[in-house]
Amino acid sequence: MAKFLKRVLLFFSLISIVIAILIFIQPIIYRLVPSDFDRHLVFEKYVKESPALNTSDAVIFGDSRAMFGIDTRIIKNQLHRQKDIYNFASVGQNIYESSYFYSKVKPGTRLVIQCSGPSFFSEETKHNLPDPKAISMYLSGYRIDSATKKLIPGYNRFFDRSPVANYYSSKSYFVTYLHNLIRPVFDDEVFDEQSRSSRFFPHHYTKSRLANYATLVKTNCNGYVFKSEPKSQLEFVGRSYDFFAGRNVKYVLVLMPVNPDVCNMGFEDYKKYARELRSINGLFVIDLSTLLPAEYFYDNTHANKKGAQLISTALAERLRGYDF
Amino acid sequence: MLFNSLTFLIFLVLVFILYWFVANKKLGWQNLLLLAASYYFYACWDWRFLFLLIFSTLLDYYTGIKMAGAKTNTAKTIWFWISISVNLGFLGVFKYFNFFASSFAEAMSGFGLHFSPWSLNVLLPVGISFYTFHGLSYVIDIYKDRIKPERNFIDYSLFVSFFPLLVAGPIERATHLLPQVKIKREFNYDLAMQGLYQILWGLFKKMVVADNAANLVNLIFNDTGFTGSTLVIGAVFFAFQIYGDFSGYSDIAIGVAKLFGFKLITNFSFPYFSRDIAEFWRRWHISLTTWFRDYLYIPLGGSRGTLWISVRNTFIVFLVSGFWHGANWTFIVWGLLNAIYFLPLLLLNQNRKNLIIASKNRVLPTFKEFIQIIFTFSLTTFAWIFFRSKDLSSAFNYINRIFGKHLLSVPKLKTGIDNTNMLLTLIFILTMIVIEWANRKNIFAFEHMYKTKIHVQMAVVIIFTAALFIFTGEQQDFIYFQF
Repeated sequence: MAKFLKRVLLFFSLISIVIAILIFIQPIIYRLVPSDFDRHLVFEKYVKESPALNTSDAVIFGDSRAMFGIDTRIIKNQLHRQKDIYNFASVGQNIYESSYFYSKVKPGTRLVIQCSGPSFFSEETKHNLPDPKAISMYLSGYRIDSATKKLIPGYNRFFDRSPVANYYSSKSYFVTYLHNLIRPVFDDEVFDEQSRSSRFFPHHYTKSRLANYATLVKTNCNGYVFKSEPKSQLEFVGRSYDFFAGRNVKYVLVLMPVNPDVCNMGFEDYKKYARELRSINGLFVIDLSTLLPAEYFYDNTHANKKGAQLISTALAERLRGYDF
Repeated sequence: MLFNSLTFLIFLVLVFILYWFVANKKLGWQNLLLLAASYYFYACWDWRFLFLLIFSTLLDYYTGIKMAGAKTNTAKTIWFWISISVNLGFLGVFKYFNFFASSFAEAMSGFGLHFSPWSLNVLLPVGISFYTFHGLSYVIDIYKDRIKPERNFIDYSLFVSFFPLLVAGPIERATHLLPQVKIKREFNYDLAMQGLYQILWGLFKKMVVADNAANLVNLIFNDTGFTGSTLVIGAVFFAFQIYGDFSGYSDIAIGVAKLFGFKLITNFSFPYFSRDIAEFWRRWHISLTTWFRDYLYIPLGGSRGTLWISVRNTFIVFLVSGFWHGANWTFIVWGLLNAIYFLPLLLLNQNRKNLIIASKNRVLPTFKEFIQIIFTFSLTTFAWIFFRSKDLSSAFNYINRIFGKHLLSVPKLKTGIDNTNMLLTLIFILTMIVIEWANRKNIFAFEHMYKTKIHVQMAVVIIFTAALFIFTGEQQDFIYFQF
């Protein structure tokens, strides 16, 4: 028995060491391997820069529609701004996710442009940040502060846990890393990986249209059918507006273009919620939902480069008379 | 309490410590502790069915004694049939009642009689097919005077309810397990180390191979938009999912039993290296196959008598085996298909040709063996389509779509992530195949690992633990728990 226990103890120690190593190298690997969420690193880099060096006076948050669809250099040039405008949009970053970054916006910033697609308003959902997103944010260096906790009472408690527990939860990222290394073998298109780390125009499509575009617009209709009034979302947009008003920062909501080729598109419902959003006292809503013809879409959701130029120009046009 | 959960690990460590350090003085204490642990383990699934388990145990224990003490053959036979009827009655009510009721209603609708069948809205007690078969073999063996009844109720209950095999086998025999229950176990280093490695290998097969394959299998079987080649991959992945899942479970069960000094019967012996379907069935779910052989096929006359009797008995065994898996026509067709596969071997008297493992004294199989292995695997995989499908029309639809379009195209799923998952799962499956092929002369892949040099053992432990840590798929229930 003693020999067995000694052997088990040896193996147990080995296993513990291996797991400990695997857990604690997570943030290092996260920085080395590209992932769908590595835009969080771009934002964290901005956060860690000295406030005195802040060269932007407007920032953009939003999901991949904004990430691929807005070239902030066009807006800057068209509005003749001295300072840059940063695009911190990332894949799947809805308003609820963006709100985790609001308190980190630097002093001196005059405008926050929050972009959203229709699916966020298709039915009522409570404030929710999925764990994989929280893990990615944590690994990129994000730490929640008291202002965010106040803004989001139901914030993801992942951020309150110990680093060991969080790094352990992030073990699924190892497979994600492998996915990202292997994926180019299967994907029909090579992506421009460099652009993903851009603060201005993180558009990584190299073609203007995806090969299976026709199938996608016929089969990916989820989120375009409005099911119930998004009371929680409307209430939260109002809270966000107040949050920035208290910091003397203007908050603008942009409804991003939707592809008219997509099946079951409920434009009328979409317009209805756009009107309701406008009714939030003082909120400036820029409705670009019907801006783009289908030819400017890369796939069922995202604008291609030409589409992004049109969106950016239109957005600059709408902001032209806006004082910020 | 799944074998691949932290709760089970804690449970196992606690029972192990109590067993070897507190209850090790007396056999009675050892058995009592294991029985208490087994009942606790079972109650964690659903405590209400614990009463059913205890009742079933009591019934077989009592009828066993009554049969042995019966003064006349008639009395013995009556006690025998009481036990058989009640055991099969429970199984019938919980597992098959709804199936028979709905099948009857469907048949009647063919005659223009339409009615809604009455159905039972109860959960299937976990492990009922397994512990009922434990009890049945015990009762039949006493009836046939092969064994004497067990007088110690604790010992008998432990034979029926020993927690490693309680919910999904292996289906033990009284002749094999009861003698082990009756002897005080002394700690055996070799057996315990073997057990640990068997658990590690079982966890790899279940958590890395089966659970990752399961995600893709679910995706492919639940979507109608895939090409023929992708559907083939879906069926092949299911073949490895069910193998990884069930043989992985069996390895963990047998490994855990070894930690307590028990040697359970082997349940899988590298079935996908079989060169014909008869060999496959000698290597797949051995405890069930041999159970049907001994308690159904042979009593029916086996292969004695005319060829027609052999064919009839073979079909009965495969159909009952299919039906044992579940109350669904898909399982019956699966059984029927296997019987059809078996038939040519039986007719040509070739069903006992391949009794030893393929290429026993070579590194690689001969070309002929390779073709035989691939052919047998293809037949098995085709039958698995019925096993996996939710109903017969889905199965036929799946097969139809395989030959519908792009059978020879490169298999591809709809998203990049799913495609990379497919590649990774393929790598896991190949890893399993290579390791099992290299160790096919052993009882299980890591059987002699504990005898190798310590640095080799350390490397194996590190690699497989890291694989479990990193590549564990989304946790899935063991497939055979539903049976």
